[in-house]
Amino acid sequence: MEVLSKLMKDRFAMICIAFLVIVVLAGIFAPWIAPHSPIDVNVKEKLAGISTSYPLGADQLGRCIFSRLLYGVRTTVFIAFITMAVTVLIGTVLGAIAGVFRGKIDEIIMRVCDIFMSFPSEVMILAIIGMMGPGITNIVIASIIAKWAWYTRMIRSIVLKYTDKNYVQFARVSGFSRWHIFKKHIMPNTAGEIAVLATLDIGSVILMISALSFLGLGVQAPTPEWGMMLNEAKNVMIIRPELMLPPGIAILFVVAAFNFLGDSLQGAFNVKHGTKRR
Amino acid sequence: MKLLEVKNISIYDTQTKNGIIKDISFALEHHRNLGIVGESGSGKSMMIKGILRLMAPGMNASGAAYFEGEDMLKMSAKAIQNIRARHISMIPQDPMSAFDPLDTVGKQMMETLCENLKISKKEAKQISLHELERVGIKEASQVLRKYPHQLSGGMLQRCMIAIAAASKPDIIIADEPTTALDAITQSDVIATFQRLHTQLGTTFIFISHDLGVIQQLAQDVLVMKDGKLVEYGGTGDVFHHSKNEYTKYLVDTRIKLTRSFEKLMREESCDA
Amino acid sequence: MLEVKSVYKSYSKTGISFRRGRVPVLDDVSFQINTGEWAALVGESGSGKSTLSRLVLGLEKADSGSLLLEGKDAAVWMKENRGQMSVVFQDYITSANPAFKVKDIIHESWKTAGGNKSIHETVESLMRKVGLPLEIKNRYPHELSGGQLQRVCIARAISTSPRFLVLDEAVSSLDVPVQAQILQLLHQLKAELDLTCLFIAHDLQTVAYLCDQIIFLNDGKIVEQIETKYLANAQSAYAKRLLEAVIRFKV
Repeated sequence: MEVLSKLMKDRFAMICIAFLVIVVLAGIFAPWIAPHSPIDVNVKEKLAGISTSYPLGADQLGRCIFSRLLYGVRTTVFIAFITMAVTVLIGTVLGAIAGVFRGKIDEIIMRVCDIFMSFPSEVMILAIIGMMGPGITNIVIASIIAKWAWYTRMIRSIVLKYTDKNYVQFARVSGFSRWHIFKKHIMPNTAGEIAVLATLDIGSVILMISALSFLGLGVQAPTPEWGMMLNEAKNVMIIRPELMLPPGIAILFVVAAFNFLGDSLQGAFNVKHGTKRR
Repeated sequence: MKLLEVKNISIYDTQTKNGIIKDISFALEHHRNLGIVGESGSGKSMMIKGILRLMAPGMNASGAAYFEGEDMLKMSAKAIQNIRARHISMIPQDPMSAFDPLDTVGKQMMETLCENLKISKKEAKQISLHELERVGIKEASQVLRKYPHQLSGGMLQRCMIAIAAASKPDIIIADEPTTALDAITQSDVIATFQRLHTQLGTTFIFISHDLGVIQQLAQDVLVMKDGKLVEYGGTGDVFHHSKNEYTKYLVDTRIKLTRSFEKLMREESCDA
Repeated sequence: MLEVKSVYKSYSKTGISFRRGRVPVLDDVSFQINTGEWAALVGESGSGKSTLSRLVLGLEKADSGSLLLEGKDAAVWMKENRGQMSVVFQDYITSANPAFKVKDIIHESWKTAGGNKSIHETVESLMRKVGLPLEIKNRYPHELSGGQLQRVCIARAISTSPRFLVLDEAVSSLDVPVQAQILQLLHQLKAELDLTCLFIAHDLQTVAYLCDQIIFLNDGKIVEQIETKYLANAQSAYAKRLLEAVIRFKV
């Protein structure tokens, strides 16, 4: 795999991957690593400083911040993964159908996308949560609804780029089925670009989930979540401003790592796409 | 004095130290067009870019290229710019992508002329019209108002030639001037070059992989292979009495390509 | 073999325009190619020749008129005779999937036609047939020269032993020496294989080398169809202009 060896040589990309793997592992093994339960209230230790049993101190309810941060990976990062996976899946299926079959079905899918894309996505998410009520499942559903249309469009245009290639035309002339052409020529070539797209965008999904939880619309207390931890730290900002640092820095690093990784992947696949330009 | 004298030019990649052009020397005399022949990848365009100092960063040229007694490879950036603006023009390979699609051909032409010749817009328009007519465009003022995509490849190529000729340069370099064109347009463009050569006395350097084009346009020819000079001399000598294996190979393959066609045409003259 | 009967094709105008205008590309095009014959379709860019080739290949549909292969509707024929039509394109760079090795490119298409010999042997015999050195069989397209890649495309095209072959400007973007080599190869294949061929080109010299018939297409209309041996006596103004425009190489 040329892409893989290219990526291996990119030291910065490897650091990002290593960091993200550690974060994910920490989330998975949180029950074994965390020194305390993330939701146990212990008023005696309220706003405790950094110590061996509280590596990052405790919050205003005496809960271990380090433990909450670890369990927060499970909510923040994993929800972002699920959202992304479902969105990309919908986008790939619909985009591929539109791009491969063209004609009427393409028209229908694209017009529906147009309608969905004519709402600003933030407003749409707020409206959906307003209707369905706050909660983890609802943010996932809301962000999928807000994003699928954009992905369908992007993936359709990536697929179209490859259906114009002569080797696809040749395969059509020699009588291969559309499924065979899609599987052999289009899917392997588009997979890389879709991966880049998803990696670059997962950071923004994390930010969105955190923002919604910060506003109290997402994850509900007492489930630990980074955005909500920020919100809680905000209440004691005057006396203990440093409580905002752990969740804030966690969000910053994870989002930054995904974005850098996306850039490196893009370089490795050597793809360029029009949107998402800095 | 020679118009342009290139001595032992070599071009290499500064990082890998790989030589791309290896020790080539040639001279351009007044009114004798030079054809540079070779397969793609032989370094034809690269050599010209090296002489005009238009190479991609990371490339370095050694040797010397004297224009009016001065070495272009050692000149200040300003001096070389002046030479490129007034004395040596270049017609790029692909006329379609040489124009900015967002602006009219006329505006781009006039901008280039104003910049290169330091003249007013009005004068630039006068010259543009005149030059376009010279290269055989009849409705010049209409062509000036068109956007690149509204014109055919041959038309754009002629606009490019007009721009190159407008500054009355001593040398015009044309990089594969006919490759992207259709047959009829190709022969029109060749006729345009021939007319400019006799009317203006401009000396041309043509880069091409088609020996037929070179045979019609150039008096001298330089054959290149893998960055090296293979043969250099008068067109007739090189094409008909070559001793070199590679040149012979180029000529033979070209003859093979035309043989059936020539035979068909000869049969006609026998019938008549 | 191929019969094209009064085919029309137009495209809708692009851009902002309230009139739904259509630009005609092919206007009442009719011609036929007999079995075993190699016919050339000669025209300039914008003459509609690439559209015509797409129609013949079944990649697009004509507005009206019919395309018949051995008397059957082309689409039906192609379904019944999978792999019997093949094509070599001008742009060899996008003709091969960059992720495939040479041997995989060549043997991709005969799964439809079925082959008894082992894949390995057949690939090698095809490579020998088109004059490719066997050691490049594990290389990727970007590691080949233009001429080699076009040979790979030809090997792929003949791998299903097709009966009808479309060569869409198959030599136009190659250097002259390589053009000559490829034409020689095609000439040899013409003698060896039982093929009917539509050769789309703009250069009369290459056409004269290879084809029995020449069809001149200008502005979407067929202006003349002539046997190559009578080329010098072409009557239409367009054919005459093309003949004059040929850049000849004098010996």
